[in-house]
Amino acid sequence: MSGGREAKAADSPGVPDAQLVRASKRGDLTAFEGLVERYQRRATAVAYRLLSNREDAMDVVQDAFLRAYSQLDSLVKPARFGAWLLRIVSNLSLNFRRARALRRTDSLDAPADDEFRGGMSRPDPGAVNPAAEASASEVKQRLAEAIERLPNLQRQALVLFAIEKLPQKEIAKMLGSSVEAVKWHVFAARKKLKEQFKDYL
Amino acid sequence: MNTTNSPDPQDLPRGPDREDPDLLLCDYLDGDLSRRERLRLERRIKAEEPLRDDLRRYGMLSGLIDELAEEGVEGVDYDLQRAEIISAIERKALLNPPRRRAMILRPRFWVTAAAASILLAVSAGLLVFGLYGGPADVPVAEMVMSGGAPAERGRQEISVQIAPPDLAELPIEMDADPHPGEPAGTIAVSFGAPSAGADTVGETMVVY
Repeated sequence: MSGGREAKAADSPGVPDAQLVRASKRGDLTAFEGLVERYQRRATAVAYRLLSNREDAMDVVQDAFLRAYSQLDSLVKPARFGAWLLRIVSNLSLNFRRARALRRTDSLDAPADDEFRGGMSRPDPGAVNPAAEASASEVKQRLAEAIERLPNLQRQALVLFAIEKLPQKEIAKMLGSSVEAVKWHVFAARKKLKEQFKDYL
Repeated sequence: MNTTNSPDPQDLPRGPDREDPDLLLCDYLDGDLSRRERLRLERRIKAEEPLRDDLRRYGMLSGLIDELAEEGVEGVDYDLQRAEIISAIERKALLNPPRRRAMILRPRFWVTAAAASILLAVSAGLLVFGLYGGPADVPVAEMVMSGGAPAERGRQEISVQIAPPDLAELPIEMDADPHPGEPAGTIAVSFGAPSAGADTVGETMVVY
């Protein structure tokens, strides 16, 4: 990366997304770098929370930005680049999870992912033993695992709403569903987690 | 599998049940209740201990989820990640240069084509109506059916005398009626300038 590009990319914080998108469409890679800088943290956090694996998350984020760049022409509302990108990240993460689960099911000694068990949930944080003493970090770790075991839509909705703090309306557009459906998935996820962690909370 | 007897959220009726205490508590924490709903719930919370416990649990759960936001991604070298993304785009661009849209798919093509069509139509109009004063003024070529016996295989000759001596491009009117008794067949159309007292033919073109 050239020094000039670094300097220009650093200038982008005040520039609206729409302007950066239009410049990127014209082939201005510096403008696109500004968009990467603006959204890479959020994209990485979303991917990590959906994949629970840092390396996988980094791969998905890179792939998402590459796809976003090559498909910029299909972005009708340039001002909505952020939501559009996170939707790509979310969908790619979901695909990655499925592929990963398939790889695991191919392996005789690896446990199958929940999504390929006819929708049945794994036993409760199994791990979550009410009688056991658990440190705060252990509880968080178990919570992260419990979130990963949530059904896809619940997990996506919870991650985007409760962790990424995106408005439900935005999430609804990202997931291609209604605001009411998002609200329901977030609620169902929270309720399930509350019940699972009742003795820790 | 739940460790408690409470219903699995998966089994709950689809769509929000505004009276579900859990939903009310979540909406309360999210600030999604109307003032009236909020005041009513707060009265219930004061009066009902299980509701207070659940509110505390949802609050703690939200706190834990908040703390998860940065968990696992701390220490990521975002500068390196960004550089890798941009490098990957540059490599991809070098390996697969963007294909230009087909000319016919570009909006500019259609605008240009439309403008050219209009210009052509206007020019043709000016040429016909302006230069020659309109089709009515164009002298119609005189057509003379050739005399003599028809050629083999019933060839029919049509001689066209161009009236203007300058051999200008003129519309040709052909009489398709064959000679009496002649079978239909090849039609020969001849062009030529008239000469004194004869049906002189300068060039002949055979049209099958």
